[in-house]
Amino acid sequence: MLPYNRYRKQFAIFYFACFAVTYTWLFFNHLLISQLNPVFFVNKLDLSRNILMLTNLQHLLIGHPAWQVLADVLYIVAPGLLLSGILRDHRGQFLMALFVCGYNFAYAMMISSMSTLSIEGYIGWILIPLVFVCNTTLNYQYMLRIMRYFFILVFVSAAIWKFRAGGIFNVEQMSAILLKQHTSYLVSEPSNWFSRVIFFLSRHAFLSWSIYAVATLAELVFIIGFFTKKFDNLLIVIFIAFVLFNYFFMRINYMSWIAFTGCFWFAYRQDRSFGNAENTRPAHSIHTINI
Amino acid sequence: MSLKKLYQHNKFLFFTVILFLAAYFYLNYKWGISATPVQQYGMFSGPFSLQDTLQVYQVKVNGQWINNARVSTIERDLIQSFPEYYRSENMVNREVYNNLESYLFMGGLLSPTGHRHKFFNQVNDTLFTNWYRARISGIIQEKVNSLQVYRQLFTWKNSRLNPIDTPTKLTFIVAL
Repeated sequence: MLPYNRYRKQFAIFYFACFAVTYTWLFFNHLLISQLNPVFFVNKLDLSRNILMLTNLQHLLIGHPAWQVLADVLYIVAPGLLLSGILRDHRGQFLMALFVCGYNFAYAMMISSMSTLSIEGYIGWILIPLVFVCNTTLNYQYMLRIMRYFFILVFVSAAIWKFRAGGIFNVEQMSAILLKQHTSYLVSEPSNWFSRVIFFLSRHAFLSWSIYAVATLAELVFIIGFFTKKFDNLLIVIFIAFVLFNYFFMRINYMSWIAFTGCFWFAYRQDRSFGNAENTRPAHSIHTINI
Repeated sequence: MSLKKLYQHNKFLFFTVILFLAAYFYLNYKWGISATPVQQYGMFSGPFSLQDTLQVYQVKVNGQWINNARVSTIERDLIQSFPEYYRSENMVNREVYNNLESYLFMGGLLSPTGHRHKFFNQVNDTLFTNWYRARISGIIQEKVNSLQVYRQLFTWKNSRLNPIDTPTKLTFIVAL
């Protein structure tokens, strides 16, 4: 097997492993649609979501446990079939990747309007399968890079938003966010260790603002990824630190975004092995190069 | 990867990327509306103040208060968020519908008749209470015989969280 196809398969395994971990987390927290068994939805100003809602999928799921179970089963089976197709070089893998992308979009739209989960956490599950839609070496390499740039854009724009909306210029920002994020916890047990950490930070506004500033800087530093892949390993480390700190201070789970780190890891390794995508000779089908 | 080389290699991919970027910058500039997968990653970007009023939902089940610090983050989210979601769902859904109606029906090209009901819920207080009771029962691992939910407001003053009103019982949680 050519190294290119080996990397592609490794990336597919990595994607599915991340997906399976997230699915298991949803299962044990009773957050799958069938476990929630929702009775209503809350809409958002999202054009794509509302176009999907024209199909009435939301009412099909609400109050219909059989459809909910089917939705949850398909949510894990479809990426599993995609992985299996990729590992066996099955011809249907490209169509399957397209299906997974579309299905994950619909599932994410539904669950994020019926639960406390936000749509942002699902973007990786929607977009990354597009990498596997590509049926030539060069298209795959381009798509992997596009996905890498997309993730960088997300991080950089998150930093820019903090300047644009003014949060970074507000010294009280992080103190107030921490209080808002943990109000019910703090009111219930004001004297335990976590409450004391939050109260300490709230009382020391400049110290907590420094954490906010460091997080903004961590997002902004991703801009370097637009110009070079040399620091991709460092960006992966920064991202994992960002996820862990977010979980500790904010109790927000960004684990689902870890799948994006595969785009950094594999794009860098492929370039090192084969040179830049632009400089490689096009464009063999995956079936023909898999010897 | 330069866009020029992408254009030379695959025009479809090139124009898809350009379209995506245009949508990304336009929707981020417009500030408010999104079109998944184009999102605004501006959470916690707007100014927050220590003088903000904070709200807590407190649940009394079978005569005992649930300690919000002794449940998992997910369970606490569920306890805190769903009464608020239910309280506001009709207003939020109506606002979204009114804002997007003209886009969804292409300025009158499609008729909204027969579609409008899709954007609204048929939930009522009893249905919601039964659902919320089942979720609470799952959290405390006990049958729920009585359930009351209260909402209370707090502010940060003198380096502590102080209640600014007495707990208000939610009337949409119906008696069992």
